[in-house]
Amino acid sequence: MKAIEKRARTVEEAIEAALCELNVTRDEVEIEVLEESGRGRFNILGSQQARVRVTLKPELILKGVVKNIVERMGATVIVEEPVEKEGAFYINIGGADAGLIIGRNGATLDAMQVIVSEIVRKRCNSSVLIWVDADRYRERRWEQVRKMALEAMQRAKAERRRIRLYNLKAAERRIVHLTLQNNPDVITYSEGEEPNRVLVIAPADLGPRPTRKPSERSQRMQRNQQREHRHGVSRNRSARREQRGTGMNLQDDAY
Amino acid sequence: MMELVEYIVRQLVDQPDKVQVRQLEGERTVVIEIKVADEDLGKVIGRKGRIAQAIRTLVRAAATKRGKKVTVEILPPSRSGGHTS
Repeated sequence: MKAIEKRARTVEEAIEAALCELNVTRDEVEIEVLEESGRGRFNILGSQQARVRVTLKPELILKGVVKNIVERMGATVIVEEPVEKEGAFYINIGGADAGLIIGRNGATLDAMQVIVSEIVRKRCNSSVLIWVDADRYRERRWEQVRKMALEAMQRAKAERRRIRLYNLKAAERRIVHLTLQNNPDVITYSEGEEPNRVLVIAPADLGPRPTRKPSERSQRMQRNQQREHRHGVSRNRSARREQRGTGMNLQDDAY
Repeated sequence: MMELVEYIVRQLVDQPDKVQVRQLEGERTVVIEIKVADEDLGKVIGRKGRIAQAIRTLVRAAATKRGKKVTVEILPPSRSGGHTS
């Protein structure tokens, strides 16, 4: 993690200078005093400068940001200590208003996560994976999705047909893929586009469903786009950009 | 609610001192207007409006505690070149 060292006349001044340079507050960093200020060992003129090392702590920044947000939402909650697991920081919010923070289908929680991740990334100057949870909603949901995946696998094998799981978010589809990836009896993949992307669990010998021929409508749209392109007209630019964008949007479509 | 929006937006942008947040209060509705430096507009909106949408969702959740309907608007860049009212 990002760390800087500072020298100054006193320890306090050195810390202050470091905090200023990192643009953080004291509760977002770890401070080590490397050298105390004071007179040199031989009492020579020009006494020894203080030296400190200040290290940026993403988990502390994360907690601060979450606290600041829930406080301004007027929510009565307790922000727990962040824990690091599997390369990500997980932070849980408990308390009376945890339900408010979760929202319908975890929508508010997801929004909180988008914003908190963005802020922490900006403050730390590096990308950190963050999971914001309330009342351990995500943990419980993930466990549920894992169970669902195993059950669907059993059914796919027993009934020898493809089982579809609807209404999963990208992160949840990822969990299904990971849960079943080492199972040679089934394969998993997703089809369709957000927000109607569907996860499919297929018996390995059955394989994925052959891709359908593009519908007439999508063929027509493609022709139109090509024509526009030739004429240099960009009437439908936003639509095309969106299409390009989807391909790159790993969060939604990679799983 | 304005404080929530102001905090989030100031944290997201490069020029926090250029952030202006206004709250227009009606009887049952509240409109929160966000004005940022032109260069920061993308940071507040995000790819495919992801950030803007997330801000709205959070504000809506906060608003349920107060029983009011809130809309959040991000003002487009001013045409006169950064001069704000």
